[in-house]
Amino acid sequence: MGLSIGLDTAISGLRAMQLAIDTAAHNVANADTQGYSRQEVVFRAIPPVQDRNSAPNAPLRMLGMGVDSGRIRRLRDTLLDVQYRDAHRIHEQYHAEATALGQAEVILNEPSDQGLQQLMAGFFNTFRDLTSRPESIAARAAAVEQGATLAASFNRAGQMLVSQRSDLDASIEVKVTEINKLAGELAELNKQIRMASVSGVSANDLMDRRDVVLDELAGLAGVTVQNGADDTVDVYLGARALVSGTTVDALAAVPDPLNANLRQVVWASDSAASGITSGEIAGILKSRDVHVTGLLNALDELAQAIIAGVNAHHQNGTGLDGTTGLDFFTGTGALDVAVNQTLRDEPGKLGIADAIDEPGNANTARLIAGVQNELLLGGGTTTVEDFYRATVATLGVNSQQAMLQRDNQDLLARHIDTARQSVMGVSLDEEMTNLMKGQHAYQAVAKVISTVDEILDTLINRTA
Amino acid sequence: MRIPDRVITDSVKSNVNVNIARMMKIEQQISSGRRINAPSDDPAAAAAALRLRADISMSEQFTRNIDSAAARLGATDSALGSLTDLLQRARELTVQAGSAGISPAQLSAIGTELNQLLHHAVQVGNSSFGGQYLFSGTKTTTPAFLATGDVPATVTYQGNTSAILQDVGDNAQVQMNVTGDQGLLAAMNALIQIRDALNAGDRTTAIQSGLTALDGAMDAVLQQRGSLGARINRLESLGVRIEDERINLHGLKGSLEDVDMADTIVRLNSARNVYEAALGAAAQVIQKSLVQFLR
Repeated sequence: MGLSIGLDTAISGLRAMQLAIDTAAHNVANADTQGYSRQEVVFRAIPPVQDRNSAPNAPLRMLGMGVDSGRIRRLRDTLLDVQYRDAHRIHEQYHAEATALGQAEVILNEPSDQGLQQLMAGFFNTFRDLTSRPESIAARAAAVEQGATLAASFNRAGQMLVSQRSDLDASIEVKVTEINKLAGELAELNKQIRMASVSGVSANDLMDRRDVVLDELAGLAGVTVQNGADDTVDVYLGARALVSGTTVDALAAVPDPLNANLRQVVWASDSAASGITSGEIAGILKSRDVHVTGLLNALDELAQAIIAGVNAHHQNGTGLDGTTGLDFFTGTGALDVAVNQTLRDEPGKLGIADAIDEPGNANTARLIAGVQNELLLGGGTTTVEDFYRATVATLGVNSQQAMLQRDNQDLLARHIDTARQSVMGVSLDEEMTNLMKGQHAYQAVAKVISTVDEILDTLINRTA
Repeated sequence: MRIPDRVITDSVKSNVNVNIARMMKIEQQISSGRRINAPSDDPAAAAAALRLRADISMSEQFTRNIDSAAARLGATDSALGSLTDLLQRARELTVQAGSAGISPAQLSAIGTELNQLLHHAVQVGNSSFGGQYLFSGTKTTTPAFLATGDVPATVTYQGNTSAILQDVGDNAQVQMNVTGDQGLLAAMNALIQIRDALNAGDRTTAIQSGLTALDGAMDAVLQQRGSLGARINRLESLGVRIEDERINLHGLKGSLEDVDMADTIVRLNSARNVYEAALGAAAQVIQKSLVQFLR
């Protein structure tokens, strides 16, 4: 063998150690980069060459030619990625629901002295007060104003729920834009990764970025991921591909005429339903269509029952001037319920007597107060207050459940992420060790080169 | 298992956040004084607390109704009390008119006084309380009795016979008026009858049938006062019972809604200790790295 082979072997080692030190530097630099997977140089011994001793008939032998450091791999457990995305999409869904339900709780503001419960009780009580002094215009005005306060509270709660619903609706547009942007980025990454893959280069950092995008897409819409050709991935929403290789089938948020023109998520190309069933968008849709709309409907039902119940008695009642047949409440639901303006202008017309020309008669007032205990709702099984309490309790249970699920899934996602990080995360201690190892190996290889150099010097310059 | 630096910092961050969130929740309970700040804090307790709020509000209303009914019944009773005194005096005068040796001048004086008592009785019958005529039935803005002239020939009842009912509890009502068509009108008519008989010099009729009518009217008034007294007593005991109940309701509501301060402050302290320990531990763990030991 020739001495120059020794030099070549040593140089392969120098290159390898240089690469190991560079990789450690890259790892340390990205220790805090989101989604970064630590990288490692894959060392492999260069296939040996056959060598024969100069002695006659000597056997062949295999001579090592140094180290090949062609490939840098990223350390990542893709099974954990799948598990993480699964936990993450459920967490995002409940997170959206818990946030919306928490807001709804603030809107209803129960239990408190300003909540609808207290105002309903106060309203019926002012009619009980009227029995003590039905001829008093001041007492009548107080009852009318209490009714107006109750109506205003219904209006306010209804309006706030409506605006919460339209806020949720608007956020769907934002989220769909976000999905399309991420899908576009993913297609671009697929393109770059394919180019790298075809030319045999490992695209570790691009793949890391792509995994971040996939995490985000899973959180938004619960997408599933399938591996495609040349290291690309395809992303599916249900059975339809959102991203297939480098092609994007974009989503759009369009008004749904069947759902009060609130937005629905469809495929932009053919307006087919997107079929999103999990992730943040599903959480927002459920909050909008089930939680907030359900609460609005309950308030409407409650307001309608009170309007009908009170009016039924009030129409039969007689005012101080003999007026009869008036409605106490006008309107058709929580949003537009109001006290009849005629009564606000002239509280004397309040129909609380059951006979004409009896200013001290408050028998109808007693009946109106009794609406509090009438079984007006749930098909004649529930009073207005019980109905409202059940509504509040249901809201509380839903909110509590969503928070519990959110926290549990958060814990699970964190746990999986810790497992994921334990494979892919950068440990500074480890990198420092690698750095030292690389440095020492580099020094050793350099020593080999200087030794070969000395041998050559001896051979060439001292032998004569 | 490898523990990369990021796992340590992430876990420190999330645990510290959990601790801060727990402290904030307790702090919110202490500063608001309330255990339930939203239905989701305890849905069952929140629903029960709402029910108690409704019950308390209803109970306070019944107390107000009882108070106003009792006040009105009290005013009615004192009016009927002065009527009783007045009728007593009328009875004495009538008996005096029947005694032998009474002079025409004295008789005329008795007649005049009876007429004054009649005016007085009408005045009592038209007593009002808080702007309501007490004896007019539900025609509370109309004076119960109309007597025209200095020597009214008749007294007309202008009210009706309707009862005024007040709700004073679940399915419990009390009638809080006495209508003037009963004892009062009879008493006034008796006074007129006696006065007119005496003025006409007819002492026998005055004493015989007049006195009977007067006694009948007095009995009726006394009976009404008895019934009033019974109603007032019933209201008083009802009021006491409702207030006792309300104290219980407040206690129940407090135990559901309000914070147990001592317990909560202990929990805050313990949460703060855990938080501080977590920060301390984090400081220890994050500081250490091989980097510090190299070279």
